[in-house]
Amino acid sequence: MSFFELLSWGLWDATRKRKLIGAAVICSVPVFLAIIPHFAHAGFNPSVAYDTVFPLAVQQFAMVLLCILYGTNAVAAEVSGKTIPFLLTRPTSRVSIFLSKWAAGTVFSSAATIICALLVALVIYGPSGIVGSPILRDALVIPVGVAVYMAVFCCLSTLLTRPSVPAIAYVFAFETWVWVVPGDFIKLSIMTYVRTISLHSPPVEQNGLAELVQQMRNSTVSMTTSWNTLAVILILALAIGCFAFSRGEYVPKEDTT
Amino acid sequence: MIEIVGASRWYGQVIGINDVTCSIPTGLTALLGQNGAGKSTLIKLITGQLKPTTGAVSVFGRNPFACSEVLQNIGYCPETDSFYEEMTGRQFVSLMARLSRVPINDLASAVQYALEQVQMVERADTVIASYSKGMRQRIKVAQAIVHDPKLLILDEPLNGLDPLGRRQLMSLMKDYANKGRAIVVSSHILYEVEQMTQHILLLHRGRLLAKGDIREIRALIDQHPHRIRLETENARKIGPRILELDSVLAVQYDRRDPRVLELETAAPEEFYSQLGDLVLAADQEVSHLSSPDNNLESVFGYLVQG
Repeated sequence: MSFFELLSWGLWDATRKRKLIGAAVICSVPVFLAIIPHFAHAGFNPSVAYDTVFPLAVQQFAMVLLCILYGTNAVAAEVSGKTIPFLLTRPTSRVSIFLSKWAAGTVFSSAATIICALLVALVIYGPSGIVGSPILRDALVIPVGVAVYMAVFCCLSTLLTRPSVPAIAYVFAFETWVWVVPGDFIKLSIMTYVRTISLHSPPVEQNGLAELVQQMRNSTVSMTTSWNTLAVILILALAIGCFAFSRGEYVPKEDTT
Repeated sequence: MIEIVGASRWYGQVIGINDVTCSIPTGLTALLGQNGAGKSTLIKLITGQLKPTTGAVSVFGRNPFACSEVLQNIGYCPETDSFYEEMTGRQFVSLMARLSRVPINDLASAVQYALEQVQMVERADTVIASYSKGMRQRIKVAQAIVHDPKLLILDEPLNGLDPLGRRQLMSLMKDYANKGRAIVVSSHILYEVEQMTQHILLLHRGRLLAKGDIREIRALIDQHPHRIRLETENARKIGPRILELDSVLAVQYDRRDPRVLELETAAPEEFYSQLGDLVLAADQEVSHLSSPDNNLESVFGYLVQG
């Protein structure tokens, strides 16, 4: 079976009704949040609104949540759904199956996140202002972030029976609060590099704790470092995932007791 | 075709199979045992889903774990009733065929043939979610045979099938075996196995309790003499003569039917060879001869309890 056939099957899998509904719900949240700045008392500034909603609601919420939904389910859902024996007793290489699942998840989640970002830009800038908005630049960077997160979560999916738990903890506990933790912990957050390449600086509260913490950091992340780091994470996660999936035993839990 | 040498498999503290050594040739072999006996574990080792904790499993001379060359020639029908529910039966079998490297040009005909074999052509284009248990079972068998494998492994394939479906599937398996292929069928229902094959592997609590022909296995159980049931014109007339034979241990008459007697023998072959002369000498006609414990139920009971 060619890789593209596997990919198209992966895309079919990604667009199954239940997953599609989940993706639609996730993507609708940033769009609703984008409406809120229109009602701000201090006057509506589209650039400020977009620079707040895009990094927080699109990147750090919708994009990563879609990656969790599709990435952590890549292998674990086949095991819990007991369909894994159909795949692993076939002569198609496990590496191809793993990579196709990652690729399908990346393609679908990127498309969904780009649509979400486009709708957010449309709500904030309006149809006439969207041409001058940074949406095009962001749309090009979204697949990079998705590919990296997806690789990490797909990798987790090959290693753990419940990969969504550490994935959610990493994204919504560690990555959310690491911005206000002094020191270089921020460099352990994938989002730091994703935001750097998308030219969206982290939200800093004027004269607040986050600004104070930023001043205490003795180094910043450069664009080159970000690209290199993301590339290394991507390759490493895919390599570990391929290795684990090609050597691991994946049997539904009830079958082993 | 399949060689298993000292294979054990542990799931943490739980043992799946324990020091199993056997070989499975071409033809139909039944893997028999109660639930939890280790049948599915053995099948997972053969199909390369699990690695043995100790020992070795070889299929077509190679370790089957994630081995494309071996898996190319294996058709596997799992016990679990799980599918991609939104697919139609035909889509599912086609996907499995492509994963099994059926060439794209042969795909439609291979899928059609497999669906015909399990009598699912008419319902093949409706979604699997709407299938009955029997239909799902048939589709599982279709996906296992679609690439015409040399080794077919069916884990409890008769579950959920109606009597007609069972007969059809048994016939399919026998045809497959007659083509010189190897079929391994697991079951915990003894009479089903008995109708399919005489060659069994009997598992109990992870151990291989017995292997080979049912009758040969039965012959090994010396402490449980064979019972043979005879129906003659007058059982009480032939009874004393039968009891005189060295091979016969006991004779019992049937109170309700004066024509019937049941005897116990530790040497059935010897008894059968002597029976012809005895019948002629007694001038009695034997209208029916049967061995009530020469079946799997008895063999299984003796081995497990004994």
